[in-house]
Amino acid sequence: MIESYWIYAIGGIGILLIFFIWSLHRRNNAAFVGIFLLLPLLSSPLWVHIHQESVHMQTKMHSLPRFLQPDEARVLGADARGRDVLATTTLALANTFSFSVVAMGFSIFAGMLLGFLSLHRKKILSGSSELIFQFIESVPFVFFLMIAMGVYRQYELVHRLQFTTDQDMLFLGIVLGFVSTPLFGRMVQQNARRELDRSYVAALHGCGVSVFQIFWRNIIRNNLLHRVIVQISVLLNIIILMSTAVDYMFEIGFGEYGRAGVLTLGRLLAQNREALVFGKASWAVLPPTFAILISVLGGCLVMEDPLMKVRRHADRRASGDATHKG
Amino acid sequence: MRPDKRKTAISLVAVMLKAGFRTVILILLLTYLVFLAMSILPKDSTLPPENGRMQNVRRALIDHQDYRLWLKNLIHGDLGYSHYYFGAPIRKHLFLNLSVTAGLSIFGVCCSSLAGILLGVVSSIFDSPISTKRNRRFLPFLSMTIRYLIYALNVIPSYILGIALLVFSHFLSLPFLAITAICLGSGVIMDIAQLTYRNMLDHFAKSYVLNALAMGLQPTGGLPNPQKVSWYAFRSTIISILPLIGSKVPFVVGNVIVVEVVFEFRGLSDALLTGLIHLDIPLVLAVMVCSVLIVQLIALGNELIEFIINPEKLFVV
Repeated sequence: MIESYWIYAIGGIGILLIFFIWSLHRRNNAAFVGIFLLLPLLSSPLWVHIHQESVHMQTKMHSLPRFLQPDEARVLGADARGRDVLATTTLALANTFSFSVVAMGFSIFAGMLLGFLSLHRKKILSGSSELIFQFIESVPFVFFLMIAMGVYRQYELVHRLQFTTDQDMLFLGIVLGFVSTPLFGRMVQQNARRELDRSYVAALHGCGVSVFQIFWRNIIRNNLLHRVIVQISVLLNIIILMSTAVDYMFEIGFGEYGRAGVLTLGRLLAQNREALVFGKASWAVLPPTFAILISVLGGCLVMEDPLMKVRRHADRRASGDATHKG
Repeated sequence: MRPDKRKTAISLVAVMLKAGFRTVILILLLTYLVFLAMSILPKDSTLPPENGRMQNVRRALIDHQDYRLWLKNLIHGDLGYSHYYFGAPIRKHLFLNLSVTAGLSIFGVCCSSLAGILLGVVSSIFDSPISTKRNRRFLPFLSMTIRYLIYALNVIPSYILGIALLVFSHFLSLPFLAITAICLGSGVIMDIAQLTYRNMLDHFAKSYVLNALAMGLQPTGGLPNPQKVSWYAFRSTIISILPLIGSKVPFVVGNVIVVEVVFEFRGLSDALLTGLIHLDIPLVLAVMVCSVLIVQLIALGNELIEFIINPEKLFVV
């Protein structure tokens, strides 16, 4: 059942625009390459929304022979379950992006809240936030995801419920967002703490500026906003890697229960692992593999430009040399 | 000498007590949350199959109903009984699974840390402004190439790397392939290498390095050694890297769990999946306890190494 992809399509276009403006602002060529690599991921919900019917038909099981070779009609051939590889990869990309958007939203909201609360004067609030951070950081993410998804699937099965695709994506997104909350929260905590320690904050307090205004203008707008953009790409990478890994594991290890839920890139790879291991139908596994690699690499390039780093280092070295000579 | 030893001992005890307290809090919090989450599910589906060891099975069912009883047993070192394994004690069953996961995790953390530190140190020495002219001709290019090769490999998820290694290597042992997949696929090498690289270069730019050179100490060589100035930059860098390694341990353990599934190792992932599928609450809780213990033990080891290296830590109690 294909639903509500238009919401995620708007999210995809929004993130694309943010990254584009960010790259223009930084004059960062590698980030432009990163945006180009992220295009399939960010535009996939829009594509699925426009071609809902055809994607739904082509991702049905056994509509084609197993491992059908690519031809003019089926550009990427068919997979182990007789589905069109192009359609399944696009749908998996759209699903991956959709719950990534939910996860990023949750992570940003919860991370900001906990990050600021951890700096609160009241010990009960700061201590509780710190405990939540340590709790999430100390337990491997896979355990959280496995238990949350396992209980969710069992609940669905035992009560004979049928959750919709939207509900699945919302739940998975919230769980992934919870797991990745410290990544954002720690960044907010460190930067806000550093800014609050500076003398101009004390001066602003002395001038009668309210705490809310200091936080909004000086910390969030001037200090955190640009870091949030960088962190979005970091989160996107981590969420893609986590979700694909867990889905791969669920599909293999969780029996019938693991096969319920939305189609993701990890699930697609697990379903076609026969082709992967025996190397007999590479066209079934290469598109999802490349989709993961390209998306993660794109996120990395938007996040930090390796060429810029080398150039920065060269500049620093040159200035250091000049200082030494001076 | 005596007061110093006393201070060291007090600091060491403080570090260990802190780690112990953190571990207890985490175990309580995590197991209670898991217990609550699994208690949502109806109890009818958790009925055990008929078998001879009914006493243990009955005990397992009591564990399902009473978290406090499970906790009381845990204090005595009893992890409970699994109804899926016909009332067998979990402690014996889980020992082998735990040793597989713990072994892979420890090797994964050690190998990726060593590789990351080595890569970062070598790159920074070759790129440093105080390196010898002979080194500065082609080695920076070589170090940059290796760094970006590792950067590219870190983008590939561990399970894809695991399968690729499994398919293309017929002669190497499975644990070796698994550790390689964990190291390269967890992204830890690149993070550590980048931080080492930046910190080393920052230290090379500091005034104490210039002073040391002016005093007649030799500049950087291939690798840091006590006769070269790079040794002092290296020592200072290691202190700032160890907390990063500690924070990456849960990621590595997560990747170990995924890689176990790829290579079909019977580790904690096997026990956890079995527990989740068959709603075996004591088994799932036992796996949670083990995972927290692995992560906290590796973190404690990390803190102890940091404690040994950093003399300033001696006075922080």
